[in-house]
Amino acid sequence: MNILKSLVPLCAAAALLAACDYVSVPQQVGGPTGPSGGNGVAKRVLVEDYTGHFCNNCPRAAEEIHTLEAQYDSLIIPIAVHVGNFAWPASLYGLPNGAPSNSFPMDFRTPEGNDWETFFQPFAFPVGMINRYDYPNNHMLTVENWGGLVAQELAKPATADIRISHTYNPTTRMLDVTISGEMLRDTSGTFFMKTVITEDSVYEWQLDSELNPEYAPYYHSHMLRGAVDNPGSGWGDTAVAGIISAQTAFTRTYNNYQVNAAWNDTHCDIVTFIYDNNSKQVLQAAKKKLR
Amino acid sequence: MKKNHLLLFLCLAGAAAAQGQNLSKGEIHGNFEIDAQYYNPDSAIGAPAVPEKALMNGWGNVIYTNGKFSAGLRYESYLNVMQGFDPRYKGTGIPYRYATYDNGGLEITVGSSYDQFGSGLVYRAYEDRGLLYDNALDGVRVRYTPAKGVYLKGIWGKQRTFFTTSPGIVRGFDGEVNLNELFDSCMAKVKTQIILGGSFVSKFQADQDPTFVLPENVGASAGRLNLIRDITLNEATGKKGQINFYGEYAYKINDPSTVNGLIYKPGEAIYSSVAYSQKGFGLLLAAKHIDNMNFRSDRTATGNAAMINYLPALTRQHTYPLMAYYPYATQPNGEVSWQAEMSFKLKKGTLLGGKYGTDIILNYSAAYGLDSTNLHDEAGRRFGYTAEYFAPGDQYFQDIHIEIGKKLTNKLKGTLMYASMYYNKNVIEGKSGYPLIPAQVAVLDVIYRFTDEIALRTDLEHLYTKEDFGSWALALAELSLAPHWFIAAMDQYNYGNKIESKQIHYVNGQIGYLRGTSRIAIGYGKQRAGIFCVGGVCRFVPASNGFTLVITSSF
Repeated sequence: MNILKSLVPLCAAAALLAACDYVSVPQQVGGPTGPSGGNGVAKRVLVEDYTGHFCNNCPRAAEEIHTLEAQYDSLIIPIAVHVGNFAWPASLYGLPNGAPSNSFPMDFRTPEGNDWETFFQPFAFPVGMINRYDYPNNHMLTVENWGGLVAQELAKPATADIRISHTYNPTTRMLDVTISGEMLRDTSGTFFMKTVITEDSVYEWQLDSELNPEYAPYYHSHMLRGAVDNPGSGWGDTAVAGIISAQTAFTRTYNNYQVNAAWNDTHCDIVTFIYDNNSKQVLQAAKKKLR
Repeated sequence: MKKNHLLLFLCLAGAAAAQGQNLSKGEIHGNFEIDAQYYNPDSAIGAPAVPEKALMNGWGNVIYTNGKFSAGLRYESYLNVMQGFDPRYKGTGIPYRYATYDNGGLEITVGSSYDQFGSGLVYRAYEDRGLLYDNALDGVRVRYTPAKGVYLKGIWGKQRTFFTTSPGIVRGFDGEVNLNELFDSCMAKVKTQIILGGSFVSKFQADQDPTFVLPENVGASAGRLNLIRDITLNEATGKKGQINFYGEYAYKINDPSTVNGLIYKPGEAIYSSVAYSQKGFGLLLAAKHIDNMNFRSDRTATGNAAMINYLPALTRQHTYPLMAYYPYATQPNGEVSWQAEMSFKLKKGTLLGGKYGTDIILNYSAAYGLDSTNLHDEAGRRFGYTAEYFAPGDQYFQDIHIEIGKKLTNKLKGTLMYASMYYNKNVIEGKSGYPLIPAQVAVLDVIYRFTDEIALRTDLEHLYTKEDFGSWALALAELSLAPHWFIAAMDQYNYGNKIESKQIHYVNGQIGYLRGTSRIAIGYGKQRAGIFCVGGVCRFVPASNGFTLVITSSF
């Protein structure tokens, strides 16, 4: 055999063999260690469920969120974003065969959710995002993949903290809210925060493939209702930007937000999250009952 | 982008002409397929409304060959993609195009390529139109035979994901040596063929995670041995048999990903099979141990996207609808499985064989999870767990199958099958709360040939289970009017569903016309939801109701 003929490919193979990254310390050096971070801050994960009342498989996604909440309690911050054709009211979509003529009248889409749909492009229903991880590559995940990524995200230490402080007048339905927090590690970039209202137990109609007939009244959970900051927009305000040291604080106050009279304010939550405006990845989230 | 692909193809063809290749001696071949369906919403079977009303998958291959040169492309169109396929297949384009020059022992391909190293444990690029699975490598492939019996391959590129490429760069090398061919002067009389092989594949993907140190270069290596020996069973008659042993071991370094929960444990795979075959008898024994061998060119990818390797399923591929109702999907995070299959022919003229002989197949397949021990080291080393080799954990799947095929008369032949299965829906489909599903399936398939042109096939099937959606019965009749026509009607009845209103008949019919290499089929009716798998890779098919159209042709 002509050894020389094989020498070049063998050398290439040897070079490839040397190209392996063995990691002995998985965590970044210098940052907070452990899931609770250097200041004992719990990592919370934003779970976005892209859904619609005409999506007959979407109740499975809501069930998965309930399963995750049972497992992780307040470490899960869910938002159900009603978007797309499956969220059309019956006047646009049409009624399912045999459904009452007054069923599915509501349009639960929001301008904020529409912004997110346009940007993040859910490719099917139901799909969702966990901390908007891995945008723009593989950020939209089907339901069976949520649990694994939630566990992965919760295993990471918190790199930011965010808190909600508010006053709410149930008579006037006026809300003043202050979002504050701090970065927990040295970093750089531009970080935005977004604050929205969600409503739980919205009693309306839903298609469910496991029912017969499939249409039935249903308690919609964690429904995105609107934004407190920049109402009508899915995008928030700058929290911190530039070269940021650990413990850099941020705060924003939003006064005189009118809670919609159609919403049951006893079922509403204020949800806020901070995200990297470049990667869109959510660093931390928080939720607080409105009243 | 489409113009550039066509331009490349034309330039390469022109270059071949400039090299003295006479284009008039070249050949152009190809094939195409169009699948379309009109969807009627049907709440009774869970068929959703489709805003587009009708959906279409279409593709066409064009391949030009001229001597040592070949080039080809595939145009694909999903407007929009049919239900049950990944909706990220959207739009039109030419995602597959290549040019190859084979100069004797050196073959170079630029563009898209499919290939496999060994059994695929560290690298397999392939496509399956039924699954809409395509992880073609877009880059360069070299195949080189420096000497007789020595086969070298190298690949470098990015994998196809839908109409783009995965973020990771894949590089790989495979070498295989057939010792008998290499040393033919001294091994000419050695009856056992000895084939050794080794592979190495590495992927690069940048680490942008703010919290974890993710390895950017992840390598996987494999070594294999194949022994093939012919055995003379009867000198006088020349009857021969063959034994074929194959064994492969693969190792992958730390590869934290979404699928494995971001653990840093290395991955391992062991695959081994022994087969014996002779006229009228075959025996296959195979075993597999998979531990953390999800290997993708995008560490965050899930489903069937961006897979670099292929982990074969040691299960029998069923084609009958109720036999294939509970198919097994390979578990890349970990599984232990084995398979034993025996096929033999009872000779014609014997008591059991009858006038024409009888074919019998016995198969046993089983898959289990790993018997693993959780290390609870999430805050530290993040190895995740430990597991012993071939130690089974939870049961995932079992298929005990017997098949008897017999020609009864010149005009009549039939096949009778029975399978006893266990199916872990929680693991295989990613559900929760389901018990292990036992199922008994029986199939009777009879073909009666009235004349050389007219044949009638009837297929009766029954699936019995008390779990899941309950028992099913199926009846199918297919009339072939050679050489051009066929008509088929099928009813699948979910009579065992615990919800009475869900005890539904899924009736559909199809009529088709064949002419030469072309086939057109139109169908109408209901299709139940289910899972369609090929070789352990699966896709979910939702329920549907409406017209279907399939057109295929080749040239």
